[in-house]
Amino acid sequence: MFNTASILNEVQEISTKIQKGYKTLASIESVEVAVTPKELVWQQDKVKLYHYHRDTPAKCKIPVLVSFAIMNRHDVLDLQPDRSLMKKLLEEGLDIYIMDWGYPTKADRYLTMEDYILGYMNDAIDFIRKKHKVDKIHKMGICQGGLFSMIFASLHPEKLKTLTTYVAPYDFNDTNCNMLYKWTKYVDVDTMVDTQGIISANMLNSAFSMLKPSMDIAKYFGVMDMMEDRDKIMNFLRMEKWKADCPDLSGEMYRKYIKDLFRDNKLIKGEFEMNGEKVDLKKMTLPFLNVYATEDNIIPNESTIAVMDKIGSKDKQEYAFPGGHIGVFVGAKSQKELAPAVAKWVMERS
Amino acid sequence: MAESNKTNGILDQILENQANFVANAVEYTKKLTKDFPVAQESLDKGYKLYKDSVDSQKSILENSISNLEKTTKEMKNQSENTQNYFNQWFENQMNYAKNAFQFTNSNQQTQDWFSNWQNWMNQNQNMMNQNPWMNMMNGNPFNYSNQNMANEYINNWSNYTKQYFDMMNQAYGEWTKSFNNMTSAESFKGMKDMQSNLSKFFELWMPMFKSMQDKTFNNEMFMSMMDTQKFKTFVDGFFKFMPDGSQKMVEQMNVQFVNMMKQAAEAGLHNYEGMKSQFNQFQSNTANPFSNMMNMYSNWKQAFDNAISPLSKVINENDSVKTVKDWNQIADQMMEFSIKNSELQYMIYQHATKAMDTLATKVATNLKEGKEIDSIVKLYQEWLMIGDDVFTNLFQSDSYSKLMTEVSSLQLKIKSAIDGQMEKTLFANIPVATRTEMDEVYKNLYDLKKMYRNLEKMFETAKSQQSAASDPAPKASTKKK
Repeated sequence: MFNTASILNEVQEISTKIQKGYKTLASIESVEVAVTPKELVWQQDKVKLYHYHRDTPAKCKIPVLVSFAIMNRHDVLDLQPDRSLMKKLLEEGLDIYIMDWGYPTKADRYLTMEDYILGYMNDAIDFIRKKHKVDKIHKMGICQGGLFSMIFASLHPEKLKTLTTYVAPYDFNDTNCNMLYKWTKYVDVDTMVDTQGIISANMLNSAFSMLKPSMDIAKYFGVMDMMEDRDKIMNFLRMEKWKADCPDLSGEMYRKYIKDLFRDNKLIKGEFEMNGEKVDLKKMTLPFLNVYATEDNIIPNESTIAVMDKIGSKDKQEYAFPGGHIGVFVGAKSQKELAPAVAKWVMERS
Repeated sequence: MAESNKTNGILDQILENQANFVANAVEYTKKLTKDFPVAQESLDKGYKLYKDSVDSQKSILENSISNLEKTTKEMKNQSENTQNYFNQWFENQMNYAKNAFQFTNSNQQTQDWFSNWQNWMNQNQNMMNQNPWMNMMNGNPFNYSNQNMANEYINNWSNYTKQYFDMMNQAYGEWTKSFNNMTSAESFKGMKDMQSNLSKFFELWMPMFKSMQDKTFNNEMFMSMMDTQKFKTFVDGFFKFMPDGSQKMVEQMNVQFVNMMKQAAEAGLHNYEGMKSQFNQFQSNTANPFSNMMNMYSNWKQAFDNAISPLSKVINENDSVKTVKDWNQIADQMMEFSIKNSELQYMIYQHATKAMDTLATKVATNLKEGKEIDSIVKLYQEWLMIGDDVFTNLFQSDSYSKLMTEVSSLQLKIKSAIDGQMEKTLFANIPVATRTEMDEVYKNLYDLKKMYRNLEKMFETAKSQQSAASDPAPKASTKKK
């Protein structure tokens, strides 16, 4: 049986909700993210290093450097005061620096993975070591930033005290693959880089959105229902702002990332090189905390966990976070459980 | 002042839309009146009822025009206040819709337009059941020569809905300009797009509702009544939610696909079943019709090359000849791109068809079990879930991944080749740096920076070594006596 009245009522309700949506959205002046106070302390080209302010002295004297993925902005780590992994880690007593990879333009097309890891990341680490007069600092890396941190830690363990990575891809084996992993096997990366120079964020976003094609539609049903709750709308808008803010990628860095890591899986096989030097995961002997999200639809768990047997660390630990890829930074459990656990783990090794 | 101008622009647009809408509606009414004598031959009893409803429609449309002009004048007067304007505009739309759906019941003035809407639907049902004209359609209301009339009749409702949504969407587009920040504007656009896609879905399922009502709905009924063009528009709309790059790709694919399918459509591809059998035909004739096309093109190209090769040997390889050859290669790649792109689009439509088939089967099963279809949103959400499964399976398949990357690579190569030709032909004698030249500059800058940083590090190392040497650790003293 088909219920005409009910369906017509729905059509009217949607129109009404959209009208309310207009009123609410039009009244919002601005959408701010990453508001925890921080200071620019170092810059090289477009890459910047920020130091978070602390109201009280840090419980942990050894500072922490956090690096996010190059293909997204680190703002999601400090999305809003009550959903901020950075703020929570500060409250737990850590002294935190964060890298801002910037927005590469065509002028940056020649930047390589070596430039990012052995150049910018290394120089930022040296800057912090020198400033704090310490030999070693704590390193945290998220997603692609976790992978880059692992590579750095394998080459320069002498500069780091511990390594913590969140939802990072390590093993790009076919059997672990989702759609993105599969596409990269076929993608004509040389043509992309040679013809475009830099890899457009729009193109990468298209690929990500195809992991769940309906997501960008279905979410608006929920949004329409929260139009009268300004707080919920602001939460939604902050996340939307972050998602829309994606930097392009340097072509040469992308070429190596796709060819050597995604396609040939060289890191886990022990064949990956940086500036001609082999990256031996067995040389990564630092205390290591490996956080993965059990519902991660972007980085398969197997890809993250696989590194545990390959590294040289004796002190190594996994943390299975119950949630999705982004939930690791913005979920309620991230604030209540993950951040305190990570801070505790780091401080115990300071 | 700027705000007022902007508002006036929107008003003009709405007025134009309303005028078009009314013109269409009047045209439709005229058409119905014209068709009426045919019905009169067999319908004496139904005549009066039908004529009354048409007259009523005319009268309400005229009334709507008058109301519209009045409200528009009022809105113009109040255009300084955008929020009031929006509210009035919205009210106007609602009133307009209310009037539009009252056309079958001129005597019954009720405040609840939804009741009218439903009454109208019920009246249709009664008309169909009570008069001999409509009795012809009982049992199989969409059969024989009356199928078109019945569809037209029931689709009338759908047309009103569609035009109503279209008008709202167009004006919303204008209104997004008044947001204070891009995130809010984009979110509003997202809602609007979602509503637009939902209304397309609604439109697509509209002809089925009648058969759900009289319990004749089943999978076959769904297939026979699915409008291919509307289905295609709906699927295109679905992929319009993708970011710009993806949208462009799909849009380009659409153009190619539509061209390719045009002939098939002309040959009798009028409905969903036709489209499906066409797809099946493609598959049964050959394992991959697109490879076949590609082979045909390659053979033709080879034959053409062979024919002109003796001639080309006697021409000197100068710049002009090279340019012609380059463009020839671009054309060749474009043909390859076009065929592969069509194949990719074909894959998407084929899978969308599969998803809709699954949904229709589910709906038919639910109806059989006596369940009620009481929400278009739920139906749409069900489609989204089924679509997710179907599309992610497609996107993850080797065949799609391989083809998608081939198409994308071809597209980039063509773009790059055309850029190269543009540099040669358009910018060669103009004093601006071309992209190729800028890439060289970027490379030089990159190398220089790298060299500078290396030197800087070497200098710092040397400095610290020197400092360590000049400040040695205290050694045991060797006193001279």
